[in-house]
Parts: sequence; structure tokens; C-alpha cells
Amino acid sequence: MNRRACFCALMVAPLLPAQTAIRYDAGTISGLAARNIGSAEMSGRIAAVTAVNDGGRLTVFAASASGGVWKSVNGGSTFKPVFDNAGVQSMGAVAIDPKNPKVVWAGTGESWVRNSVSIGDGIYKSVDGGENWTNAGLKDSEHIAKILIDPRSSDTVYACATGHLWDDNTERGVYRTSDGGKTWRKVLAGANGSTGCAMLAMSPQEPKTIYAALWDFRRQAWTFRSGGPDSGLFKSTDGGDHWTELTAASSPGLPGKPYGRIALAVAPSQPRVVYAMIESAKSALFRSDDGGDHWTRLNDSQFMVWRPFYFANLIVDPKDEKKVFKVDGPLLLSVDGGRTFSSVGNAAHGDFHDVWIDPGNPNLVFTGDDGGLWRSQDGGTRWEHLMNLPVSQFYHVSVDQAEPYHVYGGLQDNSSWVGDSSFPGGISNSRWENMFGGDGFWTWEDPSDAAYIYAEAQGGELGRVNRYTHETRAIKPYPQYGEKKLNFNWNTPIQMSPNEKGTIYAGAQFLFRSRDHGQSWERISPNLTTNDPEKQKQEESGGVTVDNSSAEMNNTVYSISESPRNGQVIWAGTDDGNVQITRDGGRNWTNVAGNVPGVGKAPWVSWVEAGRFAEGTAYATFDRHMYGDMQPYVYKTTDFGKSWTALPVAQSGVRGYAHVIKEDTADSNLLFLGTEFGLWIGIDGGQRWAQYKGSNFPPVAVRDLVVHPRTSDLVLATHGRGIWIIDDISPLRALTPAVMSEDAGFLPVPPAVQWMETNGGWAEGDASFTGPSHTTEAFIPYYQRSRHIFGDLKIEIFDAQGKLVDTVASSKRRGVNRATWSMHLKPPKVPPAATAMFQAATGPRVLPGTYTVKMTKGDKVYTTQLNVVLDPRAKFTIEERRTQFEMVNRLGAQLNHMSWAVDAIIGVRDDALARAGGLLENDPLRGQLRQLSESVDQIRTKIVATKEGGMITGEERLREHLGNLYGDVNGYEGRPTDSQVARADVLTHELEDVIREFTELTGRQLPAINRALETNKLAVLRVVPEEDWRRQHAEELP
Amino acid sequence: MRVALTTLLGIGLAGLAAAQTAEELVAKNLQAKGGIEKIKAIQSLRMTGKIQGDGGFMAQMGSTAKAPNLRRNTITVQGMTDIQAYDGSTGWHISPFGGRKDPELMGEDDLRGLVEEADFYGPLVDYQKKDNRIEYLGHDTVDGDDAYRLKVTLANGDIFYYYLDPETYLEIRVEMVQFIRGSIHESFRNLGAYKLVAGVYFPFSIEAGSMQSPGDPARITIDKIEANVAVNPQEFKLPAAPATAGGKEF
Repeated sequence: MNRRACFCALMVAPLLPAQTAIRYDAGTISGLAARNIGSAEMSGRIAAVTAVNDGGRLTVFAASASGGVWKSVNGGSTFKPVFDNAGVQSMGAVAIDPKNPKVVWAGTGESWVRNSVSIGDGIYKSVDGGENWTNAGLKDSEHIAKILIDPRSSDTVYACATGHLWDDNTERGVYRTSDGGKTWRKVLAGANGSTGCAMLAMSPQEPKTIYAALWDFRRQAWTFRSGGPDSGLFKSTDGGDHWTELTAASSPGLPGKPYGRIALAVAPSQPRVVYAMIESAKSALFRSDDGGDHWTRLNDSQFMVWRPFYFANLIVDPKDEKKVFKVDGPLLLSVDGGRTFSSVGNAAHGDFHDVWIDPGNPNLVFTGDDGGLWRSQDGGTRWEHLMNLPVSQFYHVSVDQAEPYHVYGGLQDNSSWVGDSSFPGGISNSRWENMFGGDGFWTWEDPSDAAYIYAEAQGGELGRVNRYTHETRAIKPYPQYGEKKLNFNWNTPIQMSPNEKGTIYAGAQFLFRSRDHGQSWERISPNLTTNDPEKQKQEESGGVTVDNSSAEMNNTVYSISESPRNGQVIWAGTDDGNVQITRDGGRNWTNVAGNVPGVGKAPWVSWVEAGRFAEGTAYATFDRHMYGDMQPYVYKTTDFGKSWTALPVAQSGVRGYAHVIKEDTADSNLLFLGTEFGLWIGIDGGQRWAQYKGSNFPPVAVRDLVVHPRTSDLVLATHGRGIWIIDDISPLRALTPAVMSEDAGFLPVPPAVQWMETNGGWAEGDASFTGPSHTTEAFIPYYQRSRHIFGDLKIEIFDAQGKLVDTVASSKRRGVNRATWSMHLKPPKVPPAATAMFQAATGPRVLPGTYTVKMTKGDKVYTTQLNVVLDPRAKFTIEERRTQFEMVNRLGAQLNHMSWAVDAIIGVRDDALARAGGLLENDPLRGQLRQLSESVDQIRTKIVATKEGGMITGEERLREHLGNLYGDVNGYEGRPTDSQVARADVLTHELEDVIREFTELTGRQLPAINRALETNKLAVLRVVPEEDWRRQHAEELP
Repeated sequence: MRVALTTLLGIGLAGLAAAQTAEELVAKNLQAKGGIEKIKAIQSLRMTGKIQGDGGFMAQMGSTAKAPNLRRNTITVQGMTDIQAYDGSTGWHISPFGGRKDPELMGEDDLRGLVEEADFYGPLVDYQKKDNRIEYLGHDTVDGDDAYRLKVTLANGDIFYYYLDPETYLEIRVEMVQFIRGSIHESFRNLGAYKLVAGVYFPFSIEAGSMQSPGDPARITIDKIEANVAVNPQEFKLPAAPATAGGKEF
């Protein structure tokens, strides 16, 4: 053997697969755009808000709980997301450098650590006003509550790292950088791995004096603990180098420990005035007027001390040390230094988290709550909702069969809603309707009665709602005799049977089934959970302050799926690790969790999905983030759970704990996976995955998704950025290795529905969100192995006779592309006049039928067929559609004919005038020519409006009449009205009358004039024949 | 919709391998375009094409440009031509569709983009002399595909973000941020179908739209670009305005 050759082979071999591998990644699949339909009506939780007056304008940063940072440069009239290039969307803090408003810091990972809270990946810095961000460290902090910037030194920044919620970690406490974020030093640490920083406060007048709240806390799937021996209040007077704990012993007036979470604020105008809401056995607001040496207990009203883990924030007016806001369920305001409080945010959503007060105008106040961002211009008494932040936090989504279909979903503290998937003019906030109350989760149309909707509030409060009257009936099942309670998860699963319309399931620790709209429930399982008493202590949850909201209800069924292939096969996943299956409709159950390798102990079975294509197939996602493990776990079985195979998601770059996996409705190899950090799509049964990034889809949690069975739209429920729709994902079904190895080629073209081209909506100003509707154009999907950089990529449409009817613009992306065709023919040629005739600026829409699409890319030509069909909502027949099409064409032909006539007239007019110009003033021919020119132009004024000036002249002639009629008939694709038909005859007649007048005039005068012109050796005048004119304008004419 | 000549003349940077600098990316982009000598050998341009909008609406478009900063854009519908032009100091337009064909001076909102388009070679060529600042922002993605991101801050404070194809160093997307009276106007262009004109690559396919509604761009297909055509500087000058206090006859 040639040793050298052997070595070379070894060197080269590993390279070959890479060189020949088919590229499947985000660029392959992201050419299918997604559209965000909101809504900003209910918006979503805002964790922090700050602003700065920049040259007389207010720049506002809203840090959303799980939808990134949004920036406004106009005081809130418009916002844009500026954090979508980061790896996470959960925000805890945002701060603007007092010395340089272009420097902005953002702490990721919300610190209002409710059960559904997401995580962050550190602290970010922007040096260009929040447009671009760089991760500046603390990547393992997961939650950051506050950022303070030294007003005298921009490079000195303090970060309040709350740290991990679900497990111990070391990157928590108070951190300081003195070099603008290059390095960080932990300057205050908790005594254990569960204690982190809950709040920081300083006065800009004394930036070396810093107060810090350390918080010992822990959340588990079944309980929450706020507080412990290591929670405490600390003070530093040297910029964080040294800290002193303030206790009841050292600082008279403070309560005894243990403490829970502490809210802190220093009055900006009086650095010695410090406020602290201290969670303890006797939670209350305290104030010190001497820098923390002595404290006075001031207020312990119910909302001052309610849910401290969620509302631990105090904000003092920049100029008035006695005016202080306390966020809570209501927004509390004191103007007497904290002695008494009024509730001032009553018209807002509630559950407030932050307040910003304009130091230059304290009447201008922003606040963020669970329902979005609010602005007050009277110091915080009255509020307006900023309806331009689509940061809504959906848990689930479903669709119905309406046309266009509706989208249903429930949201964190924002009820259950129904919205349009498409609407003329776009999906404005008002196209969404609230249907229930509380926190919302699963929401379904009743498949057996579309007038009704199933919805729920937290903890299994199931309801059936009449969508028209909003009459609501509570339908939840109740415990039986001797049972203490049913264990309903915070996010209680409700499922519709795919086999029996009207059969619904709901899960507690048992699985319930109803076949009569919730009138009665069958308990069709034993307790499917581990039934661990230690995990059923919801009533004791909360720590120092009991917080029994059902958020920690555990040992519950969390996911349910009935096999579409066999209604007797039902799967149930629990929040304590069980995967249960029955194959006889619920009589017998088998726990197959033990067959799932490598998921650890008691994971949350976040999703179980019966396969659509094989009865024994199912998929499951396992969520271990409540143990501190943020990795995705996704499994598949093909034998009813006897064995499970892990899908290689982490190996494929999937990030974030997994929430949902579903098969496509048509292709068993096409899988959709939603995780805490986005959407991933697998095309080969889940062996390879690519992140979907189309249309700037952010790395937001995808909690649920559904492929619409009729449209193949993929509808995404994001927990932080609302609902997104990827219209018609069917091109992904064709992404086989063979297709992807080709240079290019068409993907299967879906039927092109001629959706009605209608108008709707109304101007709502910039401060209101409107999501785009489904296009009315035809999709033409194709694939390219690489981006098309050089030369044409031409797409042409031919009718059944092989006539070229249109050339459409192509997209040039790598991977899946989607060109669109308007399906309109060329508009008619309209004669020039005083104004444009936009009513005739669009050609008729082609008739339904089969069209050929030809793509030319370099020297290669690809063809496919496109089937154009009517809008299924159309009330007219195809015959009536043909009648309309012929009528539009006839009117268009009349406009073309008119254009010839006007051009012919103008030709004679201008030529006559030109000839006259070459003659002597006293030449009689000159006068004849001028007279002729004026005469024919007079005829022209009977055809076209001629009054200019940009005013509403109201002048209408035949052109305007015909153009308007064309627009009227072209605007409705059914049968033209009798009046339109009659009017077309009238206008045709009247046009011919005028043309005849011109023809007769020129017929009478031109022979003599032309003889005279010939005598003068001048070119004769000529009426351009219509055929010649048509040849000259062939490219413009339809 | 206007097509930026800057995009036609291109700007682009990219680089996958070793660390890039903004200066390197600019140089590679200009080299990819054909090289600075060929770029500067072009002194005037004339192009024609069409714009497709929603619902089958289509218009003919044209543009004439002359170094260093003369620009005239046209859109023609039904034989009526809308004109926007800049002569290096004055921007004017004729908007005839409503029945008035007199030239009018352009307001700041419309003029800013035209002035920036009028920079014949685009902001990257001779960026130092123009006081434009360039900054390489690292890798980014365009529709999930890798790209180099270059920030160009114009002397007036407006910002162009260039997304450069890592293989060719040609720009595949440009995002523009304009600050007009303190308000921000953001728009984008996706670029492709590059062809050589006088030895320089120009994009013949452009999607252009507002960042506020990115899913609804105008689609522009350039049919023809001619370089170094004879251009009368008067084309860019504000025509003498006829006295049109009232209505007149067409």
C-alpha cells in the first residue's frame, strides 16, 4: 500500500460529505414569509420601561417580558423591535446612560419570576441608541432585575443578577463593571446558590451609595419559595466595594428576618430618603430618611404587600421625594411619603411592573403591566393604552374552518381571544375579540356547533361561550365525594376529538371526556400521575407570603392527544413525567414513561402528539427547564410507546426547552417543533432540523402551533410576539434530498385562489398595530440551491393557448422561494387627458383555468402548471365570471380604441399646426391648417377631460365615463349589472359618434389640404390607421 | 417607488473567513462590482424598467443620473409621467396624475431620499472624502441566510445598513434609516440579478419597501441600463414654471 495515498485518503474522506452534503438550514426554509397578526389589542407583559428626552423628543424603551426590547423615538406613537438579533426575548431591565443617551443597557431574563417566565442570556449593551446590541457578559445569570449606571462614569455599571429560578447557580448577585462591560466583578454575593439580587437602588446625587436587595428564592414545578435566611437588605457607600447588611438590630425600625423579596428605591432628589417594601412575616413599606440608619413602617395595605415576588418595584418621583409609585395588582401612588396610597391605574390592565416618570415633566408617566404599555399625561391618574406593541403571550392556538379561518388562543393574564387570519385592509386590533376572562390557555371552536367556543381560565376553569352573545356557562368537572380537589394544571389541557365532533377531553389528575358540551363528564382514567403527596402542596406554596394561585398545581395531566386514526387510542402526558396510553378508549391505561431513555426523572411532558399517519406512532416533548435543564428533548415512538427514539434536536442546533411538536397534515416526514427560542422545522422525519427565520421571525417562544388542514398555513402561538402565520407551507413537503440537490426547480404549485380584492379597515394612526392579511396573489414556489446573484431569473405566465400573459418578479433567495402573480392581465391603454384614470390602471383578472409557468434561470428552463380557481366564497358562477371578464375586456378594448382615436386626432392636430408654422402668415393654407387643428381638437374635447390645474374640476367626458365604467365592472368579478351593460352600449355608441365626426371632418378637408401641402412640398396630413397604431403600441396593449 | 442609484452602483461587503474590517469589506465590494477604475469610468447612467405593485398595478419607471450628484427619476402611468429630479442643489417634482403638471419644489420628506440616491457612486465610494463613516457589525442573516452587515453613517447622520453576500461581496439587501426633523424613516431594498454594464455589476431586480410593512414591497425589474450616455444637465434643472394660478386646458 502506498502509505502516502492512504494518508491523503484519510485526510480527504471526512471532507467529502461536507462538500457534497445537501445544505439544509435556516436559509433553506426561511423564504416562506411569516406575517404577524398580533394582536396589540391585549398586548402583553412589560417588565421594565425607561425613556429619555433626546433633543425635545422622548425616546422610550419598553422591555417586554418575552418579546424583546421595543424602541420608540416619538414618545410612544410608534415602536419597533430592536432586540430580535439577540438569542433571547425575555427582558428584565433596561437603562439609559445618563451621560450619553446612545448608550443603552439591557438585562435579559425577566425577574418577575412567575411560573411561565422565560430566561435570558446575560446583559447587553448598545452604543447606538438601542439599534444594535452586543452581549456584554453574565450569560448564566438567566434573570436580571435592574441595571444602574453611574451618572458620573459611563463605564461603571451595576447589574442586579437575580440568577437561576429553578436551580442553584453562582452567577447571581450584584455585579459591577468599571470598563464598560468588558469585565464584571461580583461585588455582593448571596450566601447560597439560591440567593440573587432582586433590586438595586441609588440616587444620581450620591452614586457611590447603593442599596441592594438579596433574595433567596426557588421555584419548582410544584412549589415556589420566596424568601429565606439569606434574603436581606444591604448598603454600600463605596460603589460596591464593601457592603453592610441592614437589619433590625443595626437599623431600628426594620422588621425581623427572614425576608422574602424586597422592593427598593432611593429618592433621586433626596439621596437620604430610601423606600423599601420588605416581604416578611409582617410585610410592609418602610422609609428611611437618614440613608438607612433608621426606618419607619408606613403602609401594609393589602395591595402594598400582595404577591411580592411579582410586584417588587418602587419608583420615586425625580423631584418630589414624597411621591412614590408602588407597582402591584393595582398601581399605587402616594404623595405623602408612603403613608397612604391611592390606586391610580384602574383603567389600565393591572398587574403593574414598572413606572417611568419624565424628570422634565412629572405629569408624563409610563407604566408597564401584564396588558402592555400605558401612558399618562396627568401624573398617573388617567391612562391611554399604547396599542402598537404586539408582544402578546399566547399559550395555545387553534383554528376553525371558516373562510378565512379564525384564530383562537389564550394568553398570560389576557383571557381567550378570537381573531381573523385575514381581513380586507389588514388585521387591526379591532379584528380580535375577547371571549372569556382570567389567564387564557386552550381555546377552541366547538366543532359541533360553531356558535360556541370552549375556553378556560387558570386552574381548570372551563367554560363554553356563545360567541355572539358572550353568554358563558362554567362546565368544569368537580371532585367526587371524599376527594379533596381535582388537580388542574395552571394550563389545563383541553382537546377536541379528531374523530368525533363534539367529543372533548380535559385533564386533571384524571382524564375527563364529555360528549355533550360539558353537560356531563366521564372520568375515563385512573389517576394518571405519580400522585406524589410532596408535589401536591399548592396551598403551602409561596414562601414567606403564601401565593396559592394554582400556578404550582402539580401531578396533573398536561397534554392530551387522541389518535386521528383510531379514537380508541388516547395519549396523556403529565407534568410529573408520565406518558400514558390507552388503546381501548380509556378502559385500560399503560404508563410508558419508563420506555423513554435519557429524559431524567419526572420531566414535564410538555407535549404528546398521536401520529396522523400510523396508529402506533406518537411524538412527545419533555421539558426539564424546571430542573434547570434548558435543553430540548424530543422523542418518537412507532409501537404505541413500547420503545422511544430520541430525535437529534440538540445535535441539529435546536435551542431551548421544547413546548410542542407536530406532524404536518400531509407529509409524515415534515415536523414542526416549537421551543422556548423559536421554531424549528424537520424535513426528514426529524433527523435534521433548521431554524425558521423568515421575515425576521424573532427567537421567541413558540408554545403551540397548528397546520391548517385546508390551507396548509402554519399558525404559530408565540409567548411574547403574538400570532404569526406562515401561509401555505406545502412547498416544504417537496424538499426531498433529490429536489435539494438540484440547482433549481419548481416546487408543487398550490391552487391559486382568486381571493376577492376588497377594502376594509380605517385609518387608526401610527399608534395602532395592524397585521397584514393573506395576499390575493397566486403563489409560485420554487427552490434554488444557492442565492441567485447574477443575471436574470425570469418567471413568465402563459395561458392555455400558449400566449404570454404576464412576467412576474422573482425572488432570489437560497432555498425555498415564493414568487407571486397578481393574476391580472395588462391594463388597457387609456388616452392622455388632464388627469390619470386610475380606475382603469389595473387589467382584468384572468379566468380560472390552467396556466403554464416558465422559469428561465441562466440557460435552464423550468415549467410547471398553475391552476387558478374562484374564491370559494364567491356567490357568482363561473359563467357569470366569464361574462364579467368578457365585459371588462370589451370595455378595455373600447379604451384602446379610444386611445387610437385620440392619438389620431392629436396627430392631425399637431401635424396641421406644424405645417402651418412653416407657411407665411398670409398664406390661406396656413389658416386652413390652423382651423383644421382647432376643429379636430374640439372633437378631442368631447372624448377626454382637458381642464387642468390639480383641482377637482369634475369634468368628465367619454374617457372618464368609460374609465369609471371599466373600474366598476372590473371591481366585481360576478355578473355586470344591467345598467352597466346598457351603459357600455351607450358609451360605445357615443364614442363612435365622435370618431365618425372626426372621420367625416378629415374626410372632407384632408384631400384638399393635402393637395395644397403637396403643392408647397410639405408632407401630407394623415389619419393613422388603427391597425398601424396597434402595431406601434403592441407592447403596451393587452 | 424610487430606485436608488446607490443600489445600482452598489456597495457591498462580506467575508466569512478571517476577521473582516469595514475597510476590507468596502474594498472587496467595490472590487466585486468591477473595481474602482471601472466604476469611476462611468459618468452617467440611464435606466428603464417597470414597477409592480399590489393587485396587478404596474408602471414604467426610468432614471437618469450623472456624476457627481444629478438625478432624475420618472414613473409613467397612462402616458403621464411623474418626475422627481435633483440638480445638485434643488429638488423638484412634477406630479401630473391629479391634473397639475407644473413643477414644484420638493419638501424635505421626499427630497432626502432623492438627494441620497443622487450620490452617483453611492456612499461607499470615496466614503472618507464624503465624511461617511463605515463600521463592520459582523455576521447577520437575510431570510435565514448568512450575510455580512456593514453600517454606513452618512455625513448627514442617516444610516445605511448593507448586507453583503459572503461569497460575492455584493449587497443583497440595504436598509436605510433617515432622520427627518428628528423622526425616523426606515426602508429597505432587496437586490439581485446583477449584470455587467460597462464592466460594472448593477442589480436588475429590486424589492423596495418600508420597514413598517416589509411584506408588501414594490417589485422593480430593470430592463435596461446604459452607461455614459449623453445627458443634458438641463434635465435636472427646475423647469420654468408657467403661471398656473388657476385652471388651464390640456
